[in-house]
Amino acid sequence: MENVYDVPLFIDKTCLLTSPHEKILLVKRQHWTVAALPLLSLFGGSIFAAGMVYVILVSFFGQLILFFMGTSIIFALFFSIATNKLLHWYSHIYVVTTHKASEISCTFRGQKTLQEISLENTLCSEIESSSEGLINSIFQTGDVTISIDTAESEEEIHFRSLSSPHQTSDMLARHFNLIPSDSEKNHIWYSASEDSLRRFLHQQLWNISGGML
Amino acid sequence: MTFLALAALLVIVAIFLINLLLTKQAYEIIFEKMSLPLPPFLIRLLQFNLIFPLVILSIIVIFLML
Repeated sequence: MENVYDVPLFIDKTCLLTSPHEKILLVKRQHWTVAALPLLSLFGGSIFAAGMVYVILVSFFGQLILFFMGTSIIFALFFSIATNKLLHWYSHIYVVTTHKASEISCTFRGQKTLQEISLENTLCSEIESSSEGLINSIFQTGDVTISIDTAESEEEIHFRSLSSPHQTSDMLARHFNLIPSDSEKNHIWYSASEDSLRRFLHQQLWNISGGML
Repeated sequence: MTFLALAALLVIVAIFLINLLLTKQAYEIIFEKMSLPLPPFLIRLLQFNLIFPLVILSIIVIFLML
């Protein structure tokens, strides 16, 4: 089975794998545009703030040295925030193993699993990929949603802004033996057993009703 | 003007301390705990983040001494 390793896999497997038979299927992070677009707007804001400092300190008060200090502080702040955002983007990863799907990130306090769903003992699975909006169509990014029906509850995990979401969902669907839905447009994959059961019941109802349904 | 320079000094010290914490986080949590290798551009950025406030700090101190 092919794996999609977007992130170089030097990840400590002990923190990702919980059982000895578990295998990593996918490790991905969000597309780089997720980090780049806020940084561009932040850079624009810094230029604007530097311009305002120039207008106030140089044009009104004639304090050139204070202008240089103010501008340096603004750009030091910009680089600090930019580094924080880049580190947050870099350490935010989505992991799918044979047993679970999880979203892991790191904060100032340490590594944190934001969401995790178990893929074992599931009744019905659905994997949906979607790509909407101008930015997503230009950079071919989109979301992948994994829905799981367990005996107790219904759970969903969203992988947002992934690169090539349709290929990713296809790969996962092939691994979990799902079949494509009739509507190819939505890129939804269903659990094969559930779908065949639904078709069988529909056929039985059709036969019983003599084609009236 | 001296008051403004002193305020700038405090701000730049705060930025330096935050950057120090950020660098510590990057190395300890991302690199060691998550075992994600830091790419060269992030390492350069972290180094620049530590050096840049120190340069500004020294300029402000020299300005205050003058």
